[in-house]
Amino acid sequence: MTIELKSISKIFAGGSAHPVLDDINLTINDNEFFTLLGPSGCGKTTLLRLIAGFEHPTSGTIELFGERVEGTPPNARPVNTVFQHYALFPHQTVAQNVGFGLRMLRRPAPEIEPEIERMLRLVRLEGLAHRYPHQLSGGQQQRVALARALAARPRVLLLDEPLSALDSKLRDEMRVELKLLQRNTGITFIFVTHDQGEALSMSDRIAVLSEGRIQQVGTPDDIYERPRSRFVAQFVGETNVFEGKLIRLPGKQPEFKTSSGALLPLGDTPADDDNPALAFVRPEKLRLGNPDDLASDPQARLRGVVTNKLYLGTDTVYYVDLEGGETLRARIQNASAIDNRFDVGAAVRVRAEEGAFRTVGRST
Amino acid sequence: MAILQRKEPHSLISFRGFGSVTGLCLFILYVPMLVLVVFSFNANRAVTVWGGFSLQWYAKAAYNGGLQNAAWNSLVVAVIATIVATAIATAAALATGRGQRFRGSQAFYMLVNLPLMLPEIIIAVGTLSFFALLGMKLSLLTIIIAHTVFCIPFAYLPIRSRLETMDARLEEAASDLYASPLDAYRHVTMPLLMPGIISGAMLAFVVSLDDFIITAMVAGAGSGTLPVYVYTQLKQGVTPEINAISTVLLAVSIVLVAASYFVAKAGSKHVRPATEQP
Repeated sequence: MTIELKSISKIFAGGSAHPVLDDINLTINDNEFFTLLGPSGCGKTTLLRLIAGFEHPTSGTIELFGERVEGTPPNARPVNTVFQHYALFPHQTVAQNVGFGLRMLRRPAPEIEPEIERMLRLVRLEGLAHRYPHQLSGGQQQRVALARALAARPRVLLLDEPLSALDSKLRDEMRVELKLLQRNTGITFIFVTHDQGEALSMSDRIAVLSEGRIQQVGTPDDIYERPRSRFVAQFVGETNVFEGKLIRLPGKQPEFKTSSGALLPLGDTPADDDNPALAFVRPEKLRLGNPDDLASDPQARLRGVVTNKLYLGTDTVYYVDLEGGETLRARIQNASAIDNRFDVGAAVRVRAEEGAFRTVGRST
Repeated sequence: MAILQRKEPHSLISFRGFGSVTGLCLFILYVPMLVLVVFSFNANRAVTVWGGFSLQWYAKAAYNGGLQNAAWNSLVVAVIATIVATAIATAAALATGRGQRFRGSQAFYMLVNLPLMLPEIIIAVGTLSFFALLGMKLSLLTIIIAHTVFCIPFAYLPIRSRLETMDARLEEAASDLYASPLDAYRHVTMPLLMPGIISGAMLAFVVSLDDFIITAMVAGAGSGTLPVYVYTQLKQGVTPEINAISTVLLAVSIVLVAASYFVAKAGSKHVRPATEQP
């Protein structure tokens, strides 16, 4: 176990009485790519700063490798940080920035030089050792920040939205590189982001935070396919949400009756979730068909009219107004020309795979 | 400058006569100093009648014992007051601009800066009464103490404003990378704060060098500084020699103020977070 957070709460002095973090319990494992995902203001950066040592918890304990560290200053923790805006030292060259941690650890100079070169090779900045940060592009600065944080070989690397300042193409490349880097170095990465795409694509596990509380911890697949609350279902990925109630008849598959009266077929509903109030379905799990072709299909009982469509190249998103009045989004992959055939105004049946509709409780 | 060159249709610059009004204002601003400088090179003893170019008054001033003494006093006072005031101002700026916000830090900021806005004569009288209360004999030491005190806000301002433009996350990054608080200060805060410290020190030096009212109050016999000496000489009429001394003082002030400006400007390229530049 790398990091163990127990009942962490944080209230900022002078701020509102509302806690920034409220009873956080979390275990982060060795060699894990762990992501803290949530909207801005959810407390994810504060949690990262608690682990780094810049802030101290109001209550609760933090253990790093079995040792309690609440009173330990940042410079005494085997943890390094890649800051959101990199925080490179503007008066030092790239090489001096990268070597800073090793110099502060009083490593002998002959040891530091090769280490700087190794780190610059790792992030592919060999030729830029003598530049200053302001002479570098955003992507290069990002790599320097990464090399600087990795040079002292921390056991945990904290990354605070490190990709947010990059353009989208560079961001996609860095996702792959960060994941590879984590796997190759074996260092535990704790990655903070508000971007669910980053979280899903890189993480071994994700903790979704909202208003200072952990909503759910799980693998990307867990979080996306089996969200346990409305917040998680809506924050991660696109979702169609329906209000209504569960109908469970003996000997039949459970169904969900929406407030407008439509019946949604449910797959396995968690046994402990007896009174769910919301059903949801991911747009890409829906298919559209001609009403006559699907008339006898038990998975295609929803009927509606296409009211809008967005052609996105790889997919087309259809907005379908159901008979009961709800609007549904269906994301259809354009695998062949025939997939893009429904026009606005067309009557359709919506077909969902078994288990595509799931339920979550209202309150949680 | 780029803004001035791009003439917007309704900008002030496009009005007719803008240039000549500006020129007139600057002329009025600088004409007294111009007169002083020009007549310091006057060969004629009469201050207002031009008698040809000469450096004789500079030479005469250089061999004037009373003047030499005053110049030496000025230098000693300015150097000591600058060093002590800048050190205190740096500590004050770090305490108010970094670390925990303490109760009343806003009030402290105002208290430090208030003397800049108070009439100098009040500070002068107050300082004199204070020394009298303590029973201190007026001497060079009392001048040094008074100068140190009134130089602090002048040194504090540029240091504090430099600190405010510095990214506090840099110090966090240093401590994250195993720097102790002292290391973080030595390797990150101090080098980045240096332009502010230098420009604060230069400002303090100039203010000390030029001060008259407070110095005149707290100077003991024989411990007058240059401005005090100039004033006492003026009682016997304005001589070209006075003009020469004043010109030298003026030149030193201009050089220091300009240097302070350029140091602050040269340092500013390092202070912005690197990400804001392309």
